[in-house]
Amino acid sequence: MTSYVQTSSFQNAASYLSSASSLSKVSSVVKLELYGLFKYITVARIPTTSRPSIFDMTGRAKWDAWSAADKKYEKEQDAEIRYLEIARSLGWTEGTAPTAKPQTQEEEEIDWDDGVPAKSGTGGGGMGLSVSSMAPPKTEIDKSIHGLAVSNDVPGLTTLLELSPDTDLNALDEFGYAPLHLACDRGNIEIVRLLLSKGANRTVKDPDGFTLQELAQEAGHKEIESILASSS
Amino acid sequence: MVSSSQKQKAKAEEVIDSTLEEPSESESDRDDLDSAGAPIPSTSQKKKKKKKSKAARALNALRGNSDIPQELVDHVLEKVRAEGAVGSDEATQENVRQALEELKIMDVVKGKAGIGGLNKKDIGEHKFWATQPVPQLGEGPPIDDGYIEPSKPREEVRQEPYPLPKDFEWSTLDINDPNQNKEVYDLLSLNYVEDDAAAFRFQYSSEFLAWALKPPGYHKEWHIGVRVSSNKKLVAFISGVPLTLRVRGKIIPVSEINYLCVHKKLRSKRLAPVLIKEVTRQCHLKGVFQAIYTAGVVIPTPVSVCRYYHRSLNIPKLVDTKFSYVPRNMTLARMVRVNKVPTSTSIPGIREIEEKDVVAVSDLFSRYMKRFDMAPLFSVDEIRHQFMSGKGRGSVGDGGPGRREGQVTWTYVVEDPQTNKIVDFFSFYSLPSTVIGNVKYPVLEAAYLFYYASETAIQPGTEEDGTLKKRLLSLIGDALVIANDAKFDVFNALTLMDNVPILSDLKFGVGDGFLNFYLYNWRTAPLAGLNPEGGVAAGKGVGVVML
Repeated sequence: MTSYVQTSSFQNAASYLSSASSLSKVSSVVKLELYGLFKYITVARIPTTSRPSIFDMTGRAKWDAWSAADKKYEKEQDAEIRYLEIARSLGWTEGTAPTAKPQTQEEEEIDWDDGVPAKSGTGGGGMGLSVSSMAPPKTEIDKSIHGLAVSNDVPGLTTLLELSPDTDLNALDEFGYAPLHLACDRGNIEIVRLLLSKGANRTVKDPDGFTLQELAQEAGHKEIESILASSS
Repeated sequence: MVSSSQKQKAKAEEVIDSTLEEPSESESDRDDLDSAGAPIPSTSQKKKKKKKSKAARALNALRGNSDIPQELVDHVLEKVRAEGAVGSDEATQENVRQALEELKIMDVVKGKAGIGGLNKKDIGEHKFWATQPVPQLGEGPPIDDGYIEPSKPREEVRQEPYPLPKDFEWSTLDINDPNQNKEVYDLLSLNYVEDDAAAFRFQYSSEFLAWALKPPGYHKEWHIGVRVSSNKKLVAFISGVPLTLRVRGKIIPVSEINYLCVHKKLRSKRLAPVLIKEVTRQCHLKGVFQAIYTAGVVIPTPVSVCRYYHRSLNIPKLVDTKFSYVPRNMTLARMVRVNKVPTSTSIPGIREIEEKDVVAVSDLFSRYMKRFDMAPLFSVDEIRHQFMSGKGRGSVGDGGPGRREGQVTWTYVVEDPQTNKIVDFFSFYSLPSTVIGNVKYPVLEAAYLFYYASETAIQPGTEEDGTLKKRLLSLIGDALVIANDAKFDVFNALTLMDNVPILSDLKFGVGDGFLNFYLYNWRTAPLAGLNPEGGVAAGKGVGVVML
């Protein structure tokens, strides 16, 4: 066992992820990274067993992920920062309580008249049609100012701006969007506030000629519209 | 967080370590399908048994039932030994085969492989289906199409209903009675199918149920409910409606089974298998021994799998409800612009279906549907029911923009301005979903592409020279215009019929849902849905649209 004492943020994020539905949609690459970090932080810096044979592909991939964490990080604190970063991208925020586990329905008292469906554990489909929505895009961890603006990672952006004060707040990404365009469009209020407070350009138009106000309006983010109006 | 891979690993270890053990008898009626699919809480003892029998089954699969060819196994084995890779001393026939199986499983998990996709259920748990006349997993395509179990004369069919758990009783639902219709509506709208993330749940309307459950020749005995004996509350439902189905060259009367639903709080009572058995018995009593049904989950054994595609119409709402996502290279404002639907239809002579069109539509439909390996045969009465009876009450606009009150189906025909012949038609139906826990947008209005047909398809050479695709783009493009005018948020279609070539041009996006098609007591080779099969293009195996 490692002597490292995990922070409460880490424990909180780990328990959030243990039941987060967002996790089912992420690629196995991300899951493996999380696994490697988790083992690095909670068990030991290097895997405690020998590398599984090629016939245990999942075991081997996990072992490799753990070992990779050791090569990448100097100490547990660094690994934790990375772990929390991924957790945030999967919907965890500081202080989020873990989502409740599906209750065991056998013990549950049956109340026929409440009419309220049980909360969880009912996904999937039986016979009939199945419910579908758009397949989500692949989650990519992007720590650039644009990536942080899209993923609504306020602590991440704060850290970035503290560590690299000369970051260009108005840099255009490969698609021609400035961080403020993305934050106004995605409805990431705190990112908008942060960027404005740091003096990001509020008049730049996006590649389609939309102003920040127009982007927020089209996307129905009224609060951002009023922030833009009141602070201009 | 890595539970699925852990499970896989555990399974692999058991397969290699465990001695052969047959599935235990006491579990023979367990299955994994209790209506809308809540995981069944099980005791640790049960779990242990289940694991063992899973291992046993996997072992059996290794001994020849698997579809990994022997040559491949031998080849890999040779390579591994030749290269002296780490662990090559472990390389035996069986674990090479296992490793290859796992690779294939990984493809499915990543959504690359066909059947099951994201909704894949653990195939080791389908004890109930092992007792049913359905093709078992891995049995391979049949030599001839045909039944699995012969039909029985009426007097040999079990005459008394299957027993229910104590405190429950059977009930035939009369969908004509508004109160009973409402009971079914209430049961389904709170307990029916949801997506994996429990974000959306189907909300079939009363009008929809009346339309779907009462086609010409329907049997009220096939609308089966389970009530609590004490207070008569409806807690489970299953239904069948009669349909004449052509599967490749054979025409068979079938029951279209749908709306299997068990109250969320009763998912541990194992009601689904008994509902299926009871509806089967009721079908047998009417002389129907085959059935067609669909499910998002994989059970033994899909005859085809299709994937959902979605055409976004109301972008801000779809993004807000997390139905759609803004791609990294776009803003919502650009998405709105890119997905803008024309304000008027494009095909001259397009208009809503009228009674006078029914015979012509019926004729066109029957000729067009020959294009597909599996398709329904509709009489003129059935055509009238499918495409006319769901049009709602009053006039367009009474039920909101572009809608009549209680409108379920929208059917439009193209009357050639020169010849006055009906040369195309399309229809779509309204199936909203509850957006679970969303106050701003409680209901997602979804239109589903239903049947359509075009005379263009029947002219020789139109498929090869692209004329058919062009015509269908205009036709279904006009369906989008009408759906947009009726304020639908999204227009859904599956990879069936002639949909596949037109989906991306019409800006449909790929969905996360799959729909598996099943035939009960009928064997036939796989039908082309999501994937082409045996020289048949994707989609063209399946000409049945379920409701």
